[in-house]
Amino acid sequence: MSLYGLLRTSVSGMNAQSTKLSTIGDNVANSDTAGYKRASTEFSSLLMANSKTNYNSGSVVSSIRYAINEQGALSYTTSSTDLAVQGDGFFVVNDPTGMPFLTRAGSFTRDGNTGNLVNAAGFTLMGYDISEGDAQGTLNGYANLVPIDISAMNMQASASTTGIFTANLPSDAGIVAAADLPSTNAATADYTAKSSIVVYDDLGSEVVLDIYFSKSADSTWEAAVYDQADATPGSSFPYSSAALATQTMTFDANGNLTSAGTMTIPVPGGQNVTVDISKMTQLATDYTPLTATVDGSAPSTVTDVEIGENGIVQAIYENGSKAAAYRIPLADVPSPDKLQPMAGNIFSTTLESGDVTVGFPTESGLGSLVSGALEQSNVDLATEFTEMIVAQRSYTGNSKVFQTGNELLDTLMNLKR
Amino acid sequence: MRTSLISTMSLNSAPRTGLAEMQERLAAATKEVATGRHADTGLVLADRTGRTVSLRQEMGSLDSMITSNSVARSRIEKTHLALEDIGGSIQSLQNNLTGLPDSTQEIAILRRQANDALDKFVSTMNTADGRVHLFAGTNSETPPLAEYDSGPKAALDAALIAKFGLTSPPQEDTAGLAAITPADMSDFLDNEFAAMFSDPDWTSVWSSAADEPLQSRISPTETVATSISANGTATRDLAKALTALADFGIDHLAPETRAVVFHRSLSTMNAGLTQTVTDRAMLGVSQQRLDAADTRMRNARDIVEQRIAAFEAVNPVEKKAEIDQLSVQIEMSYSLTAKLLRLSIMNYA
Amino acid sequence: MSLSVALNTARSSIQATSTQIATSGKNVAGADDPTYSRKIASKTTTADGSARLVSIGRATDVALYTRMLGATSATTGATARLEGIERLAETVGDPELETSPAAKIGALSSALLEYANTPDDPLFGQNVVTAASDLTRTMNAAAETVLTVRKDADADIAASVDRLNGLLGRFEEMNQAVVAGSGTGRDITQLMDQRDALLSQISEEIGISVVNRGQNNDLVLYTDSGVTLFETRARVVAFTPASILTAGMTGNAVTIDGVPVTGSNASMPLQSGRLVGLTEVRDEVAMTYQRQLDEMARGLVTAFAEADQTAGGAPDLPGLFTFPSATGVPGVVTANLSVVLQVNPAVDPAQGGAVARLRDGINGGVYTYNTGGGASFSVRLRGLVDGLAGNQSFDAGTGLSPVSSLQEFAAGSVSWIEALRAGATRSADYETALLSRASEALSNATGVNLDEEYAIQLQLEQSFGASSRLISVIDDLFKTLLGIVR
Repeated sequence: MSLYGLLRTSVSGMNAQSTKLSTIGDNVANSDTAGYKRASTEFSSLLMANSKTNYNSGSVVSSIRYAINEQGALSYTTSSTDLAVQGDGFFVVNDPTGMPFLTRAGSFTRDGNTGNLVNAAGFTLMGYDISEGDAQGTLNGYANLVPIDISAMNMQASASTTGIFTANLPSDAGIVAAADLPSTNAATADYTAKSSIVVYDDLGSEVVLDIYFSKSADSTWEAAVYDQADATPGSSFPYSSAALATQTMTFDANGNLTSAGTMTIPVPGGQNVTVDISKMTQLATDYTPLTATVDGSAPSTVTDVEIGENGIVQAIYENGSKAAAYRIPLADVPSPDKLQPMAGNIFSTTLESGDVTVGFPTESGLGSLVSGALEQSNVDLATEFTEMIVAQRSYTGNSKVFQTGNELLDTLMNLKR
Repeated sequence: MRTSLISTMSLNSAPRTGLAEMQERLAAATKEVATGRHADTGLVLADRTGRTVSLRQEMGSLDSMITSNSVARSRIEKTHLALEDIGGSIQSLQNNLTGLPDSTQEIAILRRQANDALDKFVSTMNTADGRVHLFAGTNSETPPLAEYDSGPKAALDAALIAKFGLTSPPQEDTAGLAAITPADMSDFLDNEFAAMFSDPDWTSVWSSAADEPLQSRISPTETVATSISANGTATRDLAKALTALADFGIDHLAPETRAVVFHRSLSTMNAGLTQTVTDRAMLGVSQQRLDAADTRMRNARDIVEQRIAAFEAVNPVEKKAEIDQLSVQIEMSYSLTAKLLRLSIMNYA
Repeated sequence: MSLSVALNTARSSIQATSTQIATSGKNVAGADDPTYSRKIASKTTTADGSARLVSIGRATDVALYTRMLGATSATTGATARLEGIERLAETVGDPELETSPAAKIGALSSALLEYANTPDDPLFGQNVVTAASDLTRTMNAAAETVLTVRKDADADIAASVDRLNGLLGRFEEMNQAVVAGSGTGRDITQLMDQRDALLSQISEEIGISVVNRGQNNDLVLYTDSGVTLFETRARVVAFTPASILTAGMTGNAVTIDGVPVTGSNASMPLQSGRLVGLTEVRDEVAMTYQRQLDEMARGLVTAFAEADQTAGGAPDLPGLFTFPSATGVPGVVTANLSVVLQVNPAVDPAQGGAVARLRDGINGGVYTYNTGGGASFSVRLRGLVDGLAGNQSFDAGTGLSPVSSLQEFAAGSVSWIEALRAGATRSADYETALLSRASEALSNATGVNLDEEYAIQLQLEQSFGASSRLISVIDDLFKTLLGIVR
């Protein structure tokens, strides 16, 4: 009985070691696979009922464990859509059928057909669309997640609504006669200084606004704004339509603005632009524009995307403006090591792993996103090799046990001739 | 860290930055040594450039005045000579006349002498200095006095005939001449004959000269007369005396009448000669003023020249020193450039 | 796991070092390019301990750069002004060469004096006519030079405006590229160098002030008078060259963004740059000089004018100096007179005239001075000599003494132009020196020091070597490990 037991035991030992060798093989093979998590084999003994005098060899049971929770080293790349998670959490990706999975393999590239970000294994990165406002996610599910589609971010124009204009007006300038103020739009109009600034209408067309500053009395200035497109060629004045906005500015003895600090300019075909002019001064020096900024942008194509460590995907337009389009969430489970690895470096939740919670990078204990980096496999070759040698020795030992048992049986068989 | 950094470009070009300017200055200094003047006068003098331009013009105008003064001087000298000549020939006639000759021979000789003197007088008065007739006044193109035989003689003949009822030619009407009383002769001399030497007869018969003498600008502020007009009293008196002696037919006059002619001629001649002396003195004054002006202008010219030099000239010694210094600097700059270019950490690494 | 991490770290170090060496290589290559600024590759340590290149920056110094731009504008302005004035001053030449109108007036005066002392000699009369012709030629040539200088300045302004528009167009492209590049975090240092180079080219034409809008390195350009030159888009710089620029006629103004910025009617006049220098030459210096020449010409006509000798009240008529279709003597500054001034054909033997008419009266009739007809009549000639030396009234707009003799006036004009030239030379030298100092300071602040780069490279080489050595050690370790597996 025990001889056979011996054979069975050694076979189970060899089986266990070969399982271990298989995991080592996988680990070594995937030692360069981004997002791969090392698998390892643990053994547990299965003992037979033994008496004081008799030992029945049992067998060894192998169980597979995954070091999913173990952070891999980051290796840096030049693609901004290569993502890595530094810390806890997984990307939520969909397979082509729409099934959600988790992964740490972040080598996403733009898919030509769909415009989605797809990783090397063909899974689509999911995120929340935040172009219309904050993400509407649920903590414990994949609701409202959409594929991150870079091409959908194209051609976006925004009308100007706010701006800042700061300049110094020369206090020693001559006073412009009331009949010649730019606001009269007379052909004889005179002014102290002029600036022009580009704003955008609803369609994103550029509108150039001419802003005239004229000293109408001591410490009193008039600002008049015209659409440059209406200007008379050569002389500017008279414009074919009246001033878009006119405002009187007064200054105190120190040259600071005392009148209203904002000016509202209705852009033809666009929105009312509220320009902050509160920092304007009137000092005894030349006309010097210091700040002239207005928001809004012309329609332009996306040239690149930028992904912040908090997961916000910003489209970068040709004109350098940025717009947040998506936010990439990270999912986590209570016991990541219990996740079920599947082909393509993805993981699916299991009973043991617990259910997913979805949150944002850098928030609630989740890691941060690193753009332009990949998480390398957490396999350490040296460890694998040493394990392999150990497994090999162990296997050889088992085979020796089997051989010995076999020889013993042979001897037994030869007893009867 | 940043403040101590010097870029390789500025290090290597540092010795060269001034090089172009130094070479430019060297070229200018070399030129200045060669010419003794500023290389770029206008740039150095700036708003004083107009002064040297004016000074040069002043010098030019002084030069041209000195030149034209020499012309005026030669004219004055020639006028002097002519007047002296006339004075000489008339003096001898006067000497003969003073003896009051009464023999027929002596009188004939005197008449011929007077005739010659008249011809010589007219020709001397018609002396020209180049294109200018000395005694013609501003009408310098024409000889001032007409030849006696081709004008004045006819007028005299006509006057004699008209006054004394002589036959033509009056000089050969011996009887008629002898019959002239001293009183008649006196009357003739005072009226008809005197009229011939006064305007308008003088200018229509004798003289085509202009009254105004030649004027010369001898200095920027002085204008002097540099000639005597033939219309002056000296010419008239001398011509009057000589004509009377030469062509009254004195051989045939009664001795008393002849004495009247002699006396009157002698006094007229004396007056004429005296006036000649006065004229010569006047010219002498002009010449003196001219000489004085010349001296003054030559001095002025020297001063102007010095002032131009003060404006435009450079000190060659100073320039030479500057050239030496610049050469040294440029050489240093060359060798420094070469040194700096060799200076590199790579030679030591 | 630690061996792999070590390998990874070594690898990232090699990557970073390579980029740093590449950056240093660029620096070495750009060492002799004055527009190149030193590039700095900064390395940081990441969370896992490996080195990572974060960004490539460049050495900048806004204050020095602004100073350099200002010095560039001032230098080109002063140089353009100097070039124009030098060409005008050529009409005067070296005093020794006596080529100026003043010298020619002096020569005429001398010739006239000699003629006055020898009025009967037509040779001296001919000398006067020759000197007068010489003078008119000089005046005509000087006046033509002034017109040419103005015309060239006008053409140069047009060329400068064209260049400016071209530069602004390129600046717009470059600014867009920089803005877009800054948005995406690309290496835009090279683009910014190019944009800065464009800025310094723009500052040659016009004085500018540069405002950084803060976001994405977006620049806004204003002229030094505050007119918007570039804001998102390049503004139009417009100028119409004059087809003809006669004396006394002001050229057209340059407008930027619809605002006239040059000329007397400029509401926001430019303060520096080539455009300012050229405009000053065209509308101020050359015009004043032209006025002086015209007044000199008028002075000549006046000095030689002939008056009614019979007290009959007939108007004065031009004498030796006249101009086409003259009906009298102009009493006030007459534009273009110096261009058309000529010697009266009636006294020029080459044109069938007689020099003696100068002595006797050119216009004849009641204008006859030599009523006696004497060949040595010198009163008129002496009168002319005195008239030439006498005081006259001149236009106050010439910037010279309003009452002086013609000779003094002409000499004053020489002084005026030479003083301007000396001043312009001094300021051009000064501005050039300032520019060279500013460039040197900027070069020191942002330029490349080869020795330093070489030292950096040595350091990088060591770092690279150490990382490589680490990799080879790890490789050996693996070899050892693999050797065990048989």
